[in-house]
Amino acid sequence: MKRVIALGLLLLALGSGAIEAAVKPPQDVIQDTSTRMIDALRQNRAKLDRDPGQIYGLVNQIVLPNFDFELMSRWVLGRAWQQASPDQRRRFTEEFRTLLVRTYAKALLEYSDEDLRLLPQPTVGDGSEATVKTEVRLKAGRPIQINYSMHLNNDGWKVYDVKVDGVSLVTNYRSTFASQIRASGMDSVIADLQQRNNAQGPR
Amino acid sequence: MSGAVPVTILPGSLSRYERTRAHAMREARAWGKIVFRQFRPSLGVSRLMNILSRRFLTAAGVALLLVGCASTSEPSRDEQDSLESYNRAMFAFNDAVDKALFKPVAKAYRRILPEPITISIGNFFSNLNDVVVLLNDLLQFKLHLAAMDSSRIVFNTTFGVAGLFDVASRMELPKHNEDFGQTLGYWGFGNGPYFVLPFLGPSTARDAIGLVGNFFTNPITWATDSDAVAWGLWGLDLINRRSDLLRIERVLAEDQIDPYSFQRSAYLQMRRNLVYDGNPPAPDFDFDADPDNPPQ
Repeated sequence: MKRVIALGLLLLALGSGAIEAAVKPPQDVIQDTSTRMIDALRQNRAKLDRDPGQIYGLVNQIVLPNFDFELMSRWVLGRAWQQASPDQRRRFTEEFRTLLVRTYAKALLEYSDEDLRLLPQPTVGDGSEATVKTEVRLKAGRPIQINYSMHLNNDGWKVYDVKVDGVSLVTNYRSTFASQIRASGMDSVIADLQQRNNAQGPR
Repeated sequence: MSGAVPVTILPGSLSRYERTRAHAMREARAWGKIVFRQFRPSLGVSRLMNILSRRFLTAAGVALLLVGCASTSEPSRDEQDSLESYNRAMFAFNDAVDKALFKPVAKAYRRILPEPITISIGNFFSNLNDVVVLLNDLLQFKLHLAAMDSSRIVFNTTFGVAGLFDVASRMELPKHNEDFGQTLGYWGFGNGPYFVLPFLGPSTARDAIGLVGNFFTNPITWATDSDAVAWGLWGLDLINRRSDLLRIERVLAEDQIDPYSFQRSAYLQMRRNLVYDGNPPAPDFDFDADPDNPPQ
């Protein structure tokens, strides 16, 4: 009997090892995504110069799958998330995602002439939590420190916050949304986001 | 002795970050460590004293924190922004001045001057600023950084032609970011309230005091004979730094729902990150925490 249990435990250990090996480690997710994005920017340079709106497609395709937008929305809204209806949650997540994609795309276009070099640094974290630290070196000035907070869900490692020189995206939006929701309510926040997103062209 | 320093600081700076007792404990320990690390060289006490006083600091910190929490049981909107109405007015004023003056000047500056020139101008002021950085390395006992930054000054001033070229960065001597505001933070002084300065923008009570130190220790202030030259250089430094922000502005421009609170949050986080040299204590997101009160 003891032997059976031992065998079972061994198989379990092997099995979980195999599953872990199949999941792409967090620093590889960041590294691969960045490389793909930078390559795509180079290849599509001419097209993007003619029509900058095309970048949204690239971002949607390459970057989007690596983010957990629902979790981001939950953290950004805090208490308001608990009080929101399922429909409000869905609409907010959708609009917030569009907002982040637009901001990210604009940042890419603005800095794509720089020599973007990602230097993955040691990852901090354990189990299902990790921080991937990277540094972007610019032509002039101090390098920019970009840290990705990631967690492991069923689909692999997903980003739920980005910190640029210590400034957390989620924390920043958190404080602005909180005061806006207090002042005018959830639906008006969603409508406001929708309006900004639509005014800014393609999704 | 050193106990007096954190005691006056803890309640304000803690209650804004953490509401739960666990977080409070963690933060109090971190503060205790920081203050202790700072005072250790001058104290030279035994290990026992070391542990005892650290315990004391933690206990005192938690006690004060609880008092602080009790007195603010009704969560205020922004504990760090007690001057919000003044700050918002000053923000609006600065914004108007910026739109009418600083931003157009910065844009023209970038349009007229070719990029290598603006980079060299930035390098020149960065080299002068390295004197302030070095001084603050020393005040924070960061001797390895002080060694690097004095090498930076020597190399950039000589081979870099009076600082116009940042040759040191290519020699694995990267630019560091230290100033008097951070030194005060390192010594255990809390931020105090968020404080928007006229013309200069976001700051805190502590960083505003730090600015005075930065001003007087910068070679622009003490190494120039005439006031006209000094103010001319300060003006150029300001325009150059404003022009560096144009790009970030283009990225964030239309997306700021409340530009004032966006800037406040970004400034406070950035400064906290700098005081802790890129490794602020406590994970920022704890999935087991009360979802209503995640740490900021």
